[in-house]
Amino acid sequence: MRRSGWAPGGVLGGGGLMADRFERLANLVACLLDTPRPLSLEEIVDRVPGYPPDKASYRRQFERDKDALRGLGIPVTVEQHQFADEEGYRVHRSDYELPELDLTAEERAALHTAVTAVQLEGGEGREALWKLGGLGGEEAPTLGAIPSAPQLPALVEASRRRAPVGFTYRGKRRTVDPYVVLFRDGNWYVLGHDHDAGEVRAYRADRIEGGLDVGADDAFTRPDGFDPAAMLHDEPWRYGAEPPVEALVQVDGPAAGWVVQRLGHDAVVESDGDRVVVRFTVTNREAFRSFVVGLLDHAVVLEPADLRAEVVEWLTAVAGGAR
Amino acid sequence: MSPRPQAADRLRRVLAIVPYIAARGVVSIAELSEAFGVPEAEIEADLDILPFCGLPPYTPDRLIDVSLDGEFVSIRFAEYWSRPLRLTPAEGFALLAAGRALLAVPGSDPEGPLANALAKLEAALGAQEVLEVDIGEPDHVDELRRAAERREQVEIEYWSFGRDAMTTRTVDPYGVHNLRGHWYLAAFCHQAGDDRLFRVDRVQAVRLTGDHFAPPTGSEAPHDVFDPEGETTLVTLDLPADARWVVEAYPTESVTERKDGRMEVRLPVAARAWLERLILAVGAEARVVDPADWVDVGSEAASRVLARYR
Repeated sequence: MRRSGWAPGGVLGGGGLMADRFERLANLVACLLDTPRPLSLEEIVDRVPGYPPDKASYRRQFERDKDALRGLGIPVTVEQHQFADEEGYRVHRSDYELPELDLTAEERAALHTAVTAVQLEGGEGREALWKLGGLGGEEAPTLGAIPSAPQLPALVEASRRRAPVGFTYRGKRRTVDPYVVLFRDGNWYVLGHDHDAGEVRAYRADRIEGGLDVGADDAFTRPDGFDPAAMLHDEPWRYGAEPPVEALVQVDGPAAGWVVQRLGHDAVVESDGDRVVVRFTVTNREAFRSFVVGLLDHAVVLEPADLRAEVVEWLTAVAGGAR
Repeated sequence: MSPRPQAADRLRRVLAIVPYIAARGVVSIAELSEAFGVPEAEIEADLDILPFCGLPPYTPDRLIDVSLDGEFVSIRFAEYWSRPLRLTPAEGFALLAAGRALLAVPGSDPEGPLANALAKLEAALGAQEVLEVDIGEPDHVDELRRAAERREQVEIEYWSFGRDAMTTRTVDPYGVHNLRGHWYLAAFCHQAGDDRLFRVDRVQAVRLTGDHFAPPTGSEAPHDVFDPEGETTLVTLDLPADARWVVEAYPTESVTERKDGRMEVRLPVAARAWLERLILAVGAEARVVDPADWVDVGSEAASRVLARYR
């Protein structure tokens, strides 16, 4: 049953353990890509040199190799074997191969510029460019740095496949149809329909605890009219499910210019030198209060009366500590 | 024994190098070194190992044939690797994130090569409108970036958020960078006599002084954000359990959780106004334990703000 042939790496390669393992993995990829039908484990170890002789050992070794290949993104599939009453393995070339992108040299260089200008924490942009035709063009000076989070690639992948994701967030289990993954104000968010809450919610990707459970593909469609650009401009006081309230806030002094930049010039209702009145649409009163009191004595809530009263009550409680 | 990362890492590169050569027929080692960003010796090591790989029965016509003609290399019998492996989720994410971020920079061409490249990539991945990046566009980004490029000295009106104070500063702008979603101006500040990092969204006005400055010598632009004035005070706070966000949002020296759920948190504070904001946001349940002369920071601030409501 065991092959008697020579092991190329061990005999001819002479490159040590790393070379042995490299050759076994490379031969395994070639073999699984080349086969027109699924191969059983026995067929594989018979064809690919370098596996140990006893069954328990070669099975373990193969499992490790399979994990290593999948770790590189090689789609090793498990299918019913044609003859043997067991599972077979293969790699479909159509799933393996990068589709033709038809990038011009200029477009490839632009991606290279992006990957060098924007430092993504732990990013694999260079390795991606290898596949797209190499690191062509000039390296750009760093223009920015953005953080990452372990689950981001999987969230984007799930969003692309329209597959729901399950995760733990602040100790609670959530199931979300990920409409979009977005970066705003220094953080990555996944935005989508939360099955339990029954509405669109935003979750910070870096606060997802543990791994993701990814459901079946094409399980949802993004509703017409869903506008991620509009969500991008959402502010903390919009992250909530309370009935929307229009609030008017007077801001003066140095804070005025900053608040206008933050809210956008459209939010300005009145402007008089260093003093502006800006409109907030509030669906999270607590976040609104935190923002406004953070402006200290440069901001006063004008309307509505009940929101103004809440802020006054809050401040009175804090002031009470002075005695 | 865990999988050897070196072998898998090398395989990852080789699975990209082979199709690169296959697409071009004949390639120089120097070109490969540049295209893959690794030394020529590494490329040679990759090519040395390839002739031991192939398909059963591993006879010469089934093994990968690498021919080296001086500096030039070509490959035969690796038809199954004629195309690169598809992008992994991590690789696709890295390209889309960096590309979308650069495209969001004020002044980028929304119909230029980068936009076209991203459109093709997203179409191929089936990932249209799946990833969005907003890095903000404060009013003075473009103006300050141009001044930095031309080495023009500027005077800025700057609101120090931590101190809640407005200052006018003469600065030599080195460059404008986006760090974690916020725009910063790296500059030599003549008032501080040192390099400083300013938040661009707190710059209220920019005026050219008419002077030019010499490029900074040797020193890198500062990468850490620091308060224009420097010094910090170590403050001990007694916070309620629902103020855990404070610990998540700011660097702390120590956090001690008590049995009743409250926390004792020690953290550096750059300015009194910063601490005022923190306490007003947490509310009446927040207490300053130390230093003693800051015990009433919150209540005094609340009284001052309340005066505006009367």
